[in-house]
Amino acid sequence: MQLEIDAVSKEYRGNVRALRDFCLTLRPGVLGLLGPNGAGKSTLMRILATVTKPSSGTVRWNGTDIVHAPDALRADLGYLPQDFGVYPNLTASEFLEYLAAIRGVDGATAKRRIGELLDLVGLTTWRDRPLGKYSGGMKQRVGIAQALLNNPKLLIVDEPTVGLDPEERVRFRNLLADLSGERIVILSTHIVSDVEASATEIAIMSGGRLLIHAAPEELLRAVEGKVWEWIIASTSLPAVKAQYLISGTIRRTDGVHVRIVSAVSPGSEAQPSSPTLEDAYLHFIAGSRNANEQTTAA
Amino acid sequence: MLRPLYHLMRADFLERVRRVSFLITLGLSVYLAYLFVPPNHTSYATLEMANHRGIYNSAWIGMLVALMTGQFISFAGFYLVKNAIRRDRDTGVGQIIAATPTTRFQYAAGKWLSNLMVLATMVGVMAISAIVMQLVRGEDSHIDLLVLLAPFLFFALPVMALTAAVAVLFETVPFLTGGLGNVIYFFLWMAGISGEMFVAFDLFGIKSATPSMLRACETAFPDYHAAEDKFSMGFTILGDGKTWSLSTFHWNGLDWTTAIILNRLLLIGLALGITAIASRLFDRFDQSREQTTGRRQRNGAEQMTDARPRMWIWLGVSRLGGLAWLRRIFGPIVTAEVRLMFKGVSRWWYMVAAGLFIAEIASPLKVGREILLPIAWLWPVLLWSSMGIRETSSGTDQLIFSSPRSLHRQFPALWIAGIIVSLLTGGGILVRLAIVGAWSPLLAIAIGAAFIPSLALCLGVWSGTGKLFEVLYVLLWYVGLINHVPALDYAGTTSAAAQAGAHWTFLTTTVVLLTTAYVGRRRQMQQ
Repeated sequence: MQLEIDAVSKEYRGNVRALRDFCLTLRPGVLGLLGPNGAGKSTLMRILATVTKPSSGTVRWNGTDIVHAPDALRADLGYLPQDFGVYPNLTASEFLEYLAAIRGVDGATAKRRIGELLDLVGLTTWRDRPLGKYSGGMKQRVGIAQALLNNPKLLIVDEPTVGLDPEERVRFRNLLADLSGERIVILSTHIVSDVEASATEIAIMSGGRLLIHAAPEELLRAVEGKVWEWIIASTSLPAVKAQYLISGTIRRTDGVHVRIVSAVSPGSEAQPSSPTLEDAYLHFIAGSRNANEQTTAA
Repeated sequence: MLRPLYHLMRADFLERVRRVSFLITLGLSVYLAYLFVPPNHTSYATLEMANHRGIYNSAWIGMLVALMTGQFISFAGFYLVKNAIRRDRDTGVGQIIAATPTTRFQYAAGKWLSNLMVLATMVGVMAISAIVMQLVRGEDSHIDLLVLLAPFLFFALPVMALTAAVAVLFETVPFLTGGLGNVIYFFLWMAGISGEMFVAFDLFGIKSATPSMLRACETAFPDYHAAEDKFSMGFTILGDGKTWSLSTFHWNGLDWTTAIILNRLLLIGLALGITAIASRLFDRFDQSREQTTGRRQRNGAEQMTDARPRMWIWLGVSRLGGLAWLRRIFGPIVTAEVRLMFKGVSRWWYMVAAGLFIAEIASPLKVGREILLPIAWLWPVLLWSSMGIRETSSGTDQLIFSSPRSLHRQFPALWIAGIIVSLLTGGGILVRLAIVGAWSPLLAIAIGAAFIPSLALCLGVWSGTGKLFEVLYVLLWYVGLINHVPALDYAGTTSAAAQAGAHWTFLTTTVVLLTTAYVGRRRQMQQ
């Protein structure tokens, strides 16, 4: 099972380039796709979900080019888009029955699977209630259920935890971790903690380009020895912010505890700290931004 | 193939019929069926042949209601069902569907079937109502179900199949999806009704049905000659308190020949063909193919933030510029509403409007009032139709409704902006009338200029969509300003309208509409 993204670019009218020569090869596991808003994540998701065609490049699912033969992937695909809605007058069961049918799931299997999935997302008792009466989090859970209807080999979820409360978010992370195994899961988000919990590999993108694709451990190693905790006076904070990449600040009685990502120690009292994925993410995004600025200046 | 098709149709159908609005639609269908079968000695007739009509038996009532249903539901029903694909686009369900193996034809056919089911339900309700009406009118109490229902099956349903398919087609052609499509369909439907486009094609079944009815009339009344005498179908109203006194004859129904059945099957074939074309044009929810709209919206946004907007003030003197003149007269809120109203309007629009304005001043008064003003007041229909819905459709309602004294500042400003649109398009004739001192027609047009935005605002606020205004206004425009029916001539384009006192009626209506819109907006704000 393999998904190959080869030199994919997407240009919208008006010379807006959402993706630039994007290359990535995926095998079973959970890929956390990270990037700031406007990085091109959703465009990439839509291309992989066969909703949008790339301007150039190829995407191959088990060797078949899905740009020209999208049905080769669609039967194996589960997709939860970022902006996902429902038919408010249908019940959850009816809505899932409908989507199962158009995914080609036969009636008996669909009935069984819908029961299992509603149970999985904790909506069994609400199954016959119109979706218009669901809360945002409940609708999101219906969205997750529909993405799993055909037991997909490729599961694409775009910003899935938006609108979920903390308990639902934890439940979803666990669900995603359980789902990995003999399938490829692509989790696109800008919430690093979602990825931290479940991703087996991470891709960071910015400005339509892939900055890095690596295992979480490798990303952490890249910022090993570059993360510092420093207690400073609150009056010094603006100057420190201007000089260093800050990944967190906490105000305490003894001053402001600042978390800094820097190759060199920012001060004699700064203490080295264990890096997190958030530190690594900020490090790569800042690196990309600096490179772009230098290119523009040159 | 069939299972996805069935579920596509079923889900969409259930989603629609479970709305309260659908129940209201069915209620209106019953009322329409009641209107289609008027008692004798009433002010209107629906099918008469020089003061004759058939006895209300199963054959006559079935045919009458089925033919009228075909014509009316193919009009109103189109606007009712032309939202199946848009709903999937708006809710985001479309993106999920796009990622499934469902083919474009399956999807389009599913939507066509769903549309057809909705329209067929309405036809079914009309058919049941027709049975009830036969008993209510009591001219012939013997009900022959087959004879009564056959016209619904062979005449009304194939028209519904075609209407359902055209609705799908209009949703897949980018420039027909919005208000322009709504207006264009009105003219297509008018062409269909008048038979001009379908001389070789019996669209509603009237050509197949009437010869037999006319022969029966000739047999019963030898002085009636089908080739020369009058035959009218539709709401033929007698004015001045007069009532119809129709003599009746027996008609036992139509002989359903193979040629008639084949003609109707051809219509279903045509519907399937249109659905197939629509499936080819369907973009499968690929957002990158919707960039034209996005670009237009972006351009609109640029205009909004530009200190010197590119909008043209087509009075011919200067650009709209900073809108300072407007701001001085009406203040910043009205200026902002006018800007919003013109957001994204192309230069072509302004050029046509400018041409009309100049022509109104330059041409003879009669031409200006009876021809140019009607055209000028159709031109901005899509600007007016956004009134009262823009806040909710663009998601700015919470921001606007929570602003200080919104109901007493933004709401009147919106209405005034609508009047400004009326004046900018129909103002040439006002200038002309003022020059010659024709104050009475000037007053009638000024009332019309206030009436249109009041109607738009009221319908927009209460229906939540611009579609209702687009349909009703164009209908009113056609009857009042094009056919010059005095009572509905809201611009007083003829002296007959002035004699009928239409402008006072429309002044009162304007006040009622505005008050109703105000109540509706207050209700929106309190929700």
